[in-house]
Amino acid sequence: MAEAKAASQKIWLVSNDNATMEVDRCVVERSMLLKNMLEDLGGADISPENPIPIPNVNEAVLRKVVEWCEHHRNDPVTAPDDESDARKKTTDIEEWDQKFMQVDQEMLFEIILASNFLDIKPLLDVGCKTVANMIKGKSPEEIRKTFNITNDFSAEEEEQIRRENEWAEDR
Amino acid sequence: MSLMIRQLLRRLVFRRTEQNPRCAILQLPIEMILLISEYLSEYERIILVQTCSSLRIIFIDNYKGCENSRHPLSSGQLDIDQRSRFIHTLAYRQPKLLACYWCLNIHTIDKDDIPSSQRKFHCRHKPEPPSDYFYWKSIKDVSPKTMGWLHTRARMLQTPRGGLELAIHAAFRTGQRKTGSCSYCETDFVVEASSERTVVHAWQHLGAEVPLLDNESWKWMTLHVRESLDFYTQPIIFASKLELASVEAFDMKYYSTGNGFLHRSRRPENAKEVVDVPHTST
Repeated sequence: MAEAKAASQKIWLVSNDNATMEVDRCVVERSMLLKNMLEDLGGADISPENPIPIPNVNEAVLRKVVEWCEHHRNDPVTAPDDESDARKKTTDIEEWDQKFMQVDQEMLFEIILASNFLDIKPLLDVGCKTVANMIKGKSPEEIRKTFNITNDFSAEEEEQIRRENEWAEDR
Repeated sequence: MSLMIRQLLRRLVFRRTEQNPRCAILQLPIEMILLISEYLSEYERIILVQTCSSLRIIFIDNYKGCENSRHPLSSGQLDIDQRSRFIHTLAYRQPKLLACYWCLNIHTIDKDDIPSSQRKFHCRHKPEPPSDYFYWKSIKDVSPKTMGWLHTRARMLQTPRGGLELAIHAAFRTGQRKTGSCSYCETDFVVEASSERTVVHAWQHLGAEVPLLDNESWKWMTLHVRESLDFYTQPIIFASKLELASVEAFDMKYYSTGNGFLHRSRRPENAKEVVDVPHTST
């Protein structure tokens, strides 16, 4: 009973551009940073007037992160030991997460940074997998086009890469 | 300590300022870029390293700093499997290039690469294995189970949820022809399936999905048709300038000539009678 009450308890977060949002405690606790912080604070009074500040994360990004946490509120929490090779071998992303990540690149990288800061490993995984999938199967030129990367190799570096790839040249 | 200083100095001269300010990925902390790279294969990481100076410095500094690091730092350090994927990725969308898995080279397509049969390209170094597979009902109906594993050199069957395997199941389920391609080598395929007769046609090096007339593979096939005396067994390909090359387009055109799939109703000599084929891996 006490656990259920704690889960439905409301927590208020404030973004770095001063937008306050009300979120269920169990949703907030998808973030290990905030979970530990709430445990440390004990019974401290979190209220609309006294929200938890989330520096470095603006309102738009924080709303996206909260949306992800809401959707995954009932997912089992993975132990730190599980963040092993098994997690990293696959770049499969479930359908809802794929749609969730259909945002512009700036937002995608902001979500990655926010999930890293808030210590939400599953969201960080999804973000990194999304970027990795944007890289997979592409040549260097195609990767440059995808991410607006400028080819800034010096002549020496170009020559070095040519030598490295010499084994694949037509003979 | 000297390594740390060297890394620090290199980061100080890290040329982000020369990069496009709209390049969001290079605005990420180095740790995040390295984390993303952990989801890439070795060959994909090498390709990423070859995009710009900044990424090259990040990866070389990071992996050189790791003792006992088994991460290759250049394409020449990749194993054979990763090398073949590397050359495939570089050549895949290049209409004038052909990745050869026999000699692990990227060739520029020339006349020596003209196909010896109408549906496949030969690397000039070694002939390709057969590309057509026929299954005929005998004691048992033809099914994905009784077909067993196809002995293709395409890698699609070796990968989880391989494209060909999925296409075969879908063709049986829907009764419709299914096309697809391998994501790891230059093989495209068409599957026609029924419990009486199943045909899998595979094309090697059909070319990139670029406008047909820019596609060297297709141009050489067309040239071959024009020059060949054996006119009626060769595909005739007419294409508009805007039409993209794809296995669907090739298959459709091939059918439309009336010359395609010569064995469509006649049982070919190399048809495999389905009795109970043991499963053996390729």
